[in-house]
Amino acid sequence: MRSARRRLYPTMPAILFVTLIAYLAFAGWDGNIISIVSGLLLSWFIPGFTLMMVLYPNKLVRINTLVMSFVISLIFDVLVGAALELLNFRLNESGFVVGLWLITITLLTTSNFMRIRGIVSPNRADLKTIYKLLFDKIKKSASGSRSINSNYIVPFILISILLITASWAITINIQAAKTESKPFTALAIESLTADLSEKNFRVVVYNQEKKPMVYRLEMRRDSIVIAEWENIMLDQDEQWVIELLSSQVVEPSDLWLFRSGEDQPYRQVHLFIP
Amino acid sequence: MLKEVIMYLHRIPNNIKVLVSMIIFSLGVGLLGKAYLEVSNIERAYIFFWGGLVLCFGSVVTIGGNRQSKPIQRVFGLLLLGTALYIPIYLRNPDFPIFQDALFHVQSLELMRDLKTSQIPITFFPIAGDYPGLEYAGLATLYTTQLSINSVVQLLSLGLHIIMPVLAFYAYRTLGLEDATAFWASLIYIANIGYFFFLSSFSYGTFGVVLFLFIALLGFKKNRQGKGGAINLAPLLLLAILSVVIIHHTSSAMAAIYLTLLGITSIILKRQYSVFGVAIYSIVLWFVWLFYHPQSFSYLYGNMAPRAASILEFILKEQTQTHQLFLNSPLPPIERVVAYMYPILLLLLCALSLWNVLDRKRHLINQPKLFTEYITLAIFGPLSWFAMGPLIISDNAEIVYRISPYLFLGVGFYSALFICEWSQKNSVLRRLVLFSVTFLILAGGIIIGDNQAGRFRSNEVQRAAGPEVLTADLIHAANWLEMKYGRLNLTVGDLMSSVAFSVFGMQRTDIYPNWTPFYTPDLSAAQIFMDEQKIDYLVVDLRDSRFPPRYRYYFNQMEIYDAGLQNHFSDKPFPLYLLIKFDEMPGLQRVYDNGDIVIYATKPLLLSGSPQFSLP
Repeated sequence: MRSARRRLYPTMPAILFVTLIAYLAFAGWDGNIISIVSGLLLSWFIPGFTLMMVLYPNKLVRINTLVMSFVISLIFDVLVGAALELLNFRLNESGFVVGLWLITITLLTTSNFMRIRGIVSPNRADLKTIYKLLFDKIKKSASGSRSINSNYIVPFILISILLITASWAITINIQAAKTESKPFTALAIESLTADLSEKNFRVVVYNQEKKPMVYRLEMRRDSIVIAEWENIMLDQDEQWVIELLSSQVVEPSDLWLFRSGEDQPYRQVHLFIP
Repeated sequence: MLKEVIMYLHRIPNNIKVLVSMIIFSLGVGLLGKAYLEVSNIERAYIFFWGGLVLCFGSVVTIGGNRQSKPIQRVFGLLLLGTALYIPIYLRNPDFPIFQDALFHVQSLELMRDLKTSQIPITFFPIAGDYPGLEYAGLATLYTTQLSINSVVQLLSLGLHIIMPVLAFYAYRTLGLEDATAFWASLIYIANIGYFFFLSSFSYGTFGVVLFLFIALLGFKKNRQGKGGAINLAPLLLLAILSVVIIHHTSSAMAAIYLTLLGITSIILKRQYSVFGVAIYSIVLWFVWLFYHPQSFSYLYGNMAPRAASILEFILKEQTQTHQLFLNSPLPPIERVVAYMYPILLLLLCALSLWNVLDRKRHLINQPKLFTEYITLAIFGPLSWFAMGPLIISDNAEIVYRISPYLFLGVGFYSALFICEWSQKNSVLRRLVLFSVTFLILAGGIIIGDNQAGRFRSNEVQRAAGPEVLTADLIHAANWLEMKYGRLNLTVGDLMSSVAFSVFGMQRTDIYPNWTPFYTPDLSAAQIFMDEQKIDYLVVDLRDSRFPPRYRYYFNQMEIYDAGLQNHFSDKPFPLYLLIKFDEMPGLQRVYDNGDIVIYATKPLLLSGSPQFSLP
C-alpha cells in the first residue's frame, strides 16, 4: 500500500506529459474535442492542482481541491498575462502556454523535492490506489450479482428515464438557442475609392428580410425622378449594387428605395456630391 | 398522512433519490428552455420559467439539502443550480451578449487578441483596459483551447457563475456551520440581486466576486489558524489578492474592507495581527494599481465624487423617491409581491438571527475566533446591507445592486443560521417553511435583479436606449461602418448606438456631452457641436421616438443633471422632430438607412478616407 501511495508523483508528471503531448498534437485543430479538453485542463485546472500538490499534499483527493484548483488556475492565467505585459512580451499564444507550463513544472518539481526531502508525506493521494479500490469495489459488486436481480431494475429504469429526459431538455434548449433576428433592408452609399479624381461611388441594397424581396430605386432631385431602377429582386442575404460616377450626379439628389407595389419610400439616403 | 409520506421518502436509498432528482432537474431544465420557445405567448413563458425553476430548485435541495447528503452531493447540487440559473441569461441572447458591461469586455478581449497587448485604443469605456484580469483569463482559455471568442466568453462566464455558490458553501463550512446549514446559506447567498443577471455576464465584476469569495474563505481559514499556524495559506492569499487587484476595482476594495474588518476584530478580541497584515497588503496593492493607472483613478474619482455628494444630499436633505421601483415594468403583479417580500423576509431572518447571537453573547465571548467572524459578518453583511437599503429609491440605486454580492456573504450566513436552527426539529411543516422561504428569497433576488433587456425575447422592443435594442439591424449598421469606412471614426449616437458602434464597429464613441446635437432644435447649434468635436459620423436610432428610455436617459446618465435642458424626456419617447432634423442640415449626408438606424456622414463622402488603423 505504501509503495502504491508513492506512485502518485511519478503518475502526475505522466498525466501532465500526456496532456502536453495532446495539447501540442491537437493545438490549432479548431473545434477538436481533444484540443479543447487538453486546453481547458491547461488553463483551468493543472496549474492550480500542482500548487495544491505543494501546499496540501495530504488533501488532494477531495472535491474542494478540484474547486480550488479551478480558481487558482484562473489566478495563474491572470498573473501570467500581467507578467507578460510587465516583461514587455506580447500577449500571444506561446507566451501564455509557456508561462502556464513553467508554473506547472516548477510547482511539480517543488512538490517532488519536498517529498524526497521528507517535508511532507503523501498518504491518501495515490491515484493508482484509488483506482484499485474503485475497481475492486466494482468487481466485488459485479461478482455478487450472479443474475439480474430486482436491485438493479429500479436504477436501470431510472437511468433510462434520466437519459431520455436529459436528451429532451438538451434538444429543447438547442431549439430555444436558435434565435430569429429582426428582419430589415438597408440602403447605403459606399465610396469605391479615396481617389478624388475618380469620385466613384456605389449604391447598395442589402436584403435581410428573411424572405425574397422586390424593390424599386429612384434618384430624385426636388421631387422629380431623374433615374429609376426597377425589379430589383433579392433573396435573403443578397445585395444589389450599382456603381455611379459623380459626373452622373451634378447636383445634390436623393435616393429613394421602394418595396414593390408601394408608393411610400421604404429607405432613403442623400447623394451629396461637393 | 404527510408525515408518513415524508418518512417513506426518507427510507428510499440515497442513490435512487439522486437519480430521481436528476430526472426532475432535467425536466426543469427542459421547461426553462421551453420558456424561450414561447416568443409570442408571454404568459406561457412565465409559467414554464417558474415551473422549471421550482423543479430545478426542488431537485437540487433533495440532492444536497438533507442532513444525510454527502459533501460531494451538496457541491454537485450547487453546481447544478448555478447552471440552471445561467440558462435563462444564455437563452435570452445566445448569439452575443447584449449587456453593455459584457460587451466592453468582449471588445477588450477581441482587441487584446488582435493587438497582443492590453494597451488598446479606448473607444467608449475607459476602465476595461486598466483592469484586464478577466481578459487575461479569456486569452489563456482562447489560446489553449482554440475556441471562438463567443464560446470562450460563454464558457468562462458559466464557469465563474457556477463556482460562486460552491465557494460560498466552503466559506460557510469554514465558519463552523454544519454542512446542511452551509448548503442552505449558500442558496440564500445566490439570492443576492446581482447573481442571476450581473454575475452571469462576461464582466470583471463576475470574476472579481469569485475571487472575493475565495479571499473571504481564505481569510476565515487564516483567522481560524491562530498564531503560528501553517504557512500554506499565505501564498494562496497573497496570490488571490494580487490578482483581484488586477481584475476589478470594486471587488478588490471590498476584499480590502472585509479583511480590514476581520483584522481589526481579530486584534481586539484575539490579539492576533496576521489577518490585519494581509489587510494592509491588500490596501497598499489597491492604491498602487490605481496610481499605476492614473486614467482609471481620474475616472473613478470623477464618478464617485458626484455620487458621494448625491448620497449625502439624499441622507441629509431630502429623502424623496427619485427612483421609482418597477417603473413601466412588464412584470406580473404576483412577481412584484414576491419582490416586495424579499427584503422583508431577509430583514426578519437576519434580525431574529442577530437577536439570537446577542442572546448568546456571553457564550460567544469565550470563543474569540467565532466571535471575531460573527462580528465581521454582522457588519459586513446584514447591518451594512440594510443601512444601504433606502438608497434603492434614490438615483444611486445601482450601488445597492453592485454591492449586494459582497454583503450577502453575511446576509446568507445570518439568515441560514436562524432558519436552519428553527427548522431542525423533526417537523415536516418546518422543513416545508425552510424550502418555501428560501425559494421565495431566491425568486425575489431573480425578479429584482432580472435581465435588464427583459427576461424573455419578444417580437418588438418595449424600451429604447437599453440592451434590448441591440438587434440585428443595429449591429449590421455598426459592422457596415467598420467594413466600409474603417475603425476609430468619431461617432456620436444614443447610449446603445454608442455601445454597438464601439463594440461591433470599433468606432470611437467616447464623446461628451453626446446628447447636445440631439436635444437642440437649432440646426446651427448642432452643426457647431459637430464641427467643434470633429465628429465623423452621427447615428440616429429612430426607436428613441417610439419608446421611453430603459435607464431614464437616452444618451448618458449625466444628461439628467444638465441644467441647460428644459426637458430631458426621462419617461416619454424622444420627440421625432429632434431626430429627423438632421435631414435638413446641409453639413450632413445621410449615407445609410435600414429603417430604424440612420447614419449621417459629416464630410463629403469621398473625403471620408480609408481605415485609420489596421490589424498587424
